[in-house]
Amino acid sequence: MNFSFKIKRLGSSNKRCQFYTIVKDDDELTEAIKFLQNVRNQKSDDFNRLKKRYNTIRNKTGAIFEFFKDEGVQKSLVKALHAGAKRDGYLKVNSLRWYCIRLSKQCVIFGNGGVKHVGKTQQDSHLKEKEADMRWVDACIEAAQRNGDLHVVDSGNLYGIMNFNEETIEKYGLQ
Amino acid sequence: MAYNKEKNDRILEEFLSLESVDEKFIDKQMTIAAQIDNYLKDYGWTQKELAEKAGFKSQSQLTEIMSGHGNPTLRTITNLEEALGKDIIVSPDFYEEELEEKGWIHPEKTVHVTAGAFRSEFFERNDFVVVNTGYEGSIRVKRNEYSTADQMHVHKPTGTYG
Repeated sequence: MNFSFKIKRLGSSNKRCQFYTIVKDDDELTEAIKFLQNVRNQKSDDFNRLKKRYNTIRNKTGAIFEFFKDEGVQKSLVKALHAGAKRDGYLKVNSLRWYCIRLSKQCVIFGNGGVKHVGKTQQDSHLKEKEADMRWVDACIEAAQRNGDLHVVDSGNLYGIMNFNEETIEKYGLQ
Repeated sequence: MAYNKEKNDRILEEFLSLESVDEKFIDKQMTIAAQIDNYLKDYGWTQKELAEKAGFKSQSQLTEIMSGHGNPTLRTITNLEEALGKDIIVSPDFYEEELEEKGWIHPEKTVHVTAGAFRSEFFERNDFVVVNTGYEGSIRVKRNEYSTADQMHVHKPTGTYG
């Protein structure tokens, strides 16, 4: 699904890793905040533990590659932050997923996410939609970086184009 | 409806103010993983190489630790430390002593002043960073110089007297 969006900083500047999120046109809340505000997510056992992981990444360790889970496509920057695997009978289950784009160890763009109760993301329409959103954002960001319109500096701060409107998207040939 | 920064900030603050369960444990899981990651990058080793050197039966054991979700035993950590030739976890008191012995940091020394001697003292602030450990800080080092009364006229100041 293609949509226009703006990149916004998520919270204040951090010591080890800068966090960003996106806001879709005409939305009051960013995608990351929608994830945090979702009652179903809040009721998940993983919600509090996810908060700790979020804090340790931003203030201590940075966004180490292995902390994030691949979401079906290898080498894609679209990942999920999760609270670890739990055993449900014989199965290992990672239930709460917070989709993001890990641009570097110092920069992550968070999107939306949700509780995964199915074997494959494709079986859950909500998760499928949120993951697809992040893949679209990733495609736009990649095009902007390729065109030299967006840069991630060593500190993890983003510089350049933050508004991906119809005109920009058309310019990158992503319609 | 337009983007509402205040509302977004407020919800994020609420999230950050949540009390976390297992906070200390999660922190340890992640910092141990981050420390190993730093060593791997320094050495240019892959996870597979480290797993082999540490005598792991499979790489998946290390993968779990590196994901920041592992719960390795002390034996496992020691095997990794031996393979790396470096510490992953340290006991602060003993580690500080080791650093002092290596001369990387200097403890503040107490010296008895003998009668009839003139003691001059000054303080230096020494910043230190211990490579590959994440330890950094600064210490205030007291320097003492002693001159007997009959040498006082030749004593030259060597620092800022405090």
